[in-house]
Amino acid sequence: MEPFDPFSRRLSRREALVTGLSAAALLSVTSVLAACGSTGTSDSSATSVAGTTAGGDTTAATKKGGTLKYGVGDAQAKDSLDPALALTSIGIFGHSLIYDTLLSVDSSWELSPMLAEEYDISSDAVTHSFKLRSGVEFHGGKTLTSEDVAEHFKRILDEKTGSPGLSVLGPVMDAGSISTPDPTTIIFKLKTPDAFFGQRVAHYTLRIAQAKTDEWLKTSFGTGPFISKSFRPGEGFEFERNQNYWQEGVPYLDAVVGVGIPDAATRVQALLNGDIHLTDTVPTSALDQVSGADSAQLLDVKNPSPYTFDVDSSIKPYNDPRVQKAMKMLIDREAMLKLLVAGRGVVSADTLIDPADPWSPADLKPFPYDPEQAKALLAEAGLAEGFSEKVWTTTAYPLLNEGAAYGKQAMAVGGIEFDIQSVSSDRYIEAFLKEPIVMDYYLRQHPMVMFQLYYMSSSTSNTTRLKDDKIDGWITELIKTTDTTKQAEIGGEIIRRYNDVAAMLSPFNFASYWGGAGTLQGWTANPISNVEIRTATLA
Amino acid sequence: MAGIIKFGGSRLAFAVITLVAISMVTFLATNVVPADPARVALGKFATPAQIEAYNEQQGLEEPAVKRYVIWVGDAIRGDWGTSVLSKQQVTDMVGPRIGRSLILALAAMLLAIPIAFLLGVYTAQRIGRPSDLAISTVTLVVNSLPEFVVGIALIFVFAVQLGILPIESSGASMGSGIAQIKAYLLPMLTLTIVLVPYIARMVRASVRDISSQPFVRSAALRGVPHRGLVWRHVVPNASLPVVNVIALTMAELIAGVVIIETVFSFPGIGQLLVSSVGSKDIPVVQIITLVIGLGFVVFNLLADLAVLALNPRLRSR
Repeated sequence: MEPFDPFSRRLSRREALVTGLSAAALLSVTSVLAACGSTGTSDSSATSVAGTTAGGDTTAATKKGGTLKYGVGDAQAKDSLDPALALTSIGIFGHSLIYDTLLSVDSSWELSPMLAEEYDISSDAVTHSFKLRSGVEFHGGKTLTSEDVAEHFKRILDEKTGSPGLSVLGPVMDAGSISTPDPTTIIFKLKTPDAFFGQRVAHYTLRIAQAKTDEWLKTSFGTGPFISKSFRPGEGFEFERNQNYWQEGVPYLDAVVGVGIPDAATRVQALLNGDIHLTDTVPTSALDQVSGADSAQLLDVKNPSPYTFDVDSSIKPYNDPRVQKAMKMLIDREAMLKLLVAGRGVVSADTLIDPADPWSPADLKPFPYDPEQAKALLAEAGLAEGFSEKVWTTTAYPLLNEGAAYGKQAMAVGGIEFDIQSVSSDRYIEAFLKEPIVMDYYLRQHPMVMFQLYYMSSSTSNTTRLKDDKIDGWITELIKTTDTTKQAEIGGEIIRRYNDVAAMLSPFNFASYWGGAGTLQGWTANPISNVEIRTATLA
Repeated sequence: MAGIIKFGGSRLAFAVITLVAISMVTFLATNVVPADPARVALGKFATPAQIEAYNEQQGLEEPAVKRYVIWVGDAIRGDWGTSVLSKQQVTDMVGPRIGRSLILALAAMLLAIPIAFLLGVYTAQRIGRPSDLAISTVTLVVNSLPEFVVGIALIFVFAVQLGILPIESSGASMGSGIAQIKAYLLPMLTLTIVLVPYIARMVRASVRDISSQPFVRSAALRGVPHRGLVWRHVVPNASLPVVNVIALTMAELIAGVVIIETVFSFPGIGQLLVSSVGSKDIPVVQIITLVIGLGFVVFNLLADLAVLALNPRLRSR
């Protein structure tokens, strides 16, 4: 196996101390400083540590301790402490407090070590070896071994588990891909090459837990910075600091309490009133209220979501490039962004990839708003008289109906009549991959993951049903490529091509903001959990 | 005595039949919903194999009749099954929430009933006077306000302006001591304010009706003091129709004041029902519906027994 450093742009701990560039390195810096400056893992609320606010713009003496109260917007009966079944906010954010992954990623998709302190990829990108950090203990006191990791991955791969992580791992491996030569080494020999396996293992369902499927609600089974004291699905949780956490000096908070507050207005008011210190997505209507308050702040979690019309590229008339282009040119993206989300986001090409993400070509611009040319293209395609189409949407998710209404008005200029079908969430979900046009938005993921899920012809999640040999071939090549320069070239070509040939309409990516108390410092944005609070404090 | 046994027995039999009917309707409704519970639980991109495994795991491939019989048998034995989503025992999910909703409903009712009776009796004795007009107008206005408006107004005053009570009531489950008590106060006050005008207007009308009865005039002519006349002769008789209203209102409250629970994020049975219906967590929906049905049946039964206790003519039949 030829050694390959997947953390090629990751800094060593020593280097990180010098430059302090990445969020992960920042974490190392603060933990080292904390170790030097604190008196250990005291729960004293008066111990001073070096605190760092998000973005690293301020360093000030802050107080360790305190209980952070988190208002959970979508606390549901299906909440579970089983990371394999993470689906809701408690799963995606809450689990990050009590579990760790092998590797973590920052907002630029840079990998950094967590439970694995070493990671090697073979030159053919088939074999991936992880060396586990020694001495890491689960909350119950058991030492973490490679068998625990293997067991967790096997659970994800078992269809009976019903984990969303199966779609992440399933394409590249099965249970037979895993071997554990010794207690601290785990090797994945994949079915197909995957130079981006490191990104996969950072997925939120791959937070490592001891396998105790029937006892999730009774005990804490992670290695994370907090230990679950109580957990009630649909209501909330109480997590307290793990005094034995492997990362010295963190977390700074004594405890995190999650409380279910389904109503967005109540949640925002609770934040403004100081009843809670953190809340998930702030509704668009309350952004100005929160940003203008002294008692609260908007937390830009740097996870912009593509807002889309998923159009079936495989059927008439949407398989005609002229019709695709005409529809793209009928949308005034700037106006739509302003109208729907008050301009909080960025106009984008129809790619599902954020313009700030790696590989996104800097010169790639969206199709211009040009109704006259759009009409000419439709006439050229024999559709001068226009046509009618059902557009499926729902009130179950925010802004979809509003977007459909905007689309109806925009398309009408070109003679295309959108017949809006606003239906229940069940019927809406059934419409996916069946109906010609469905309103949608996507969660930001690494571009490679987006390609495999939504660009690949063979993917069961290919929402535009695009079948393009060039894109498929490039993705197949990209997944084997370990050279980062080559990755950027191929990735850029894929994005350009998708913009040109897919019937996807993705006018903008809207910024996602969480709400924080004015006293909340030291948090960082994270593409998986949205917010990372190991080094957070309540000043 | 035989009359009481006959009356109670017939009511009990009717209650059992009602419960059986509720169980059948509940089961049918939750088993003929058009949505695919597996796809809802597993998400829009679940594979066919995952859906198949889920259906097998949850026994959704068995015939409906067989599932109904098993479900009823288990429910009677106290085995309410497991949430298909959280894998938690349904008893553990529903039990604490019933308790909280019951406490909230009882507290609001205990506060509302005496206030409503005082107001109702007071205004019934002053029909057409300025005090009656003022109170009747206020109760009419409050009665026509939606619950969430009252709730938001109380939040504005007590939580936002005065800052003495929490905006949301998650403390009812996640708090302890004072925080837990505080969590109940605003929802309880809201319910009380909503209930008082409704019951007070019923009491007023009923008291007025009873006051015009010959036996009241006769008692007055016999020289029964005014206070005794009102509270010993008029109010007990005027309570008979009000008791049924209170019982039904109580059952509705336990069923979950969904809007109030949403406005205050109160972790009660209504909130769980809404969440479970949304996510098609069928075992939870079935049990909650059954429990709510049971609540209606039990409180109706209690109302009948209360009427029996208050009305000597029924006892002597």
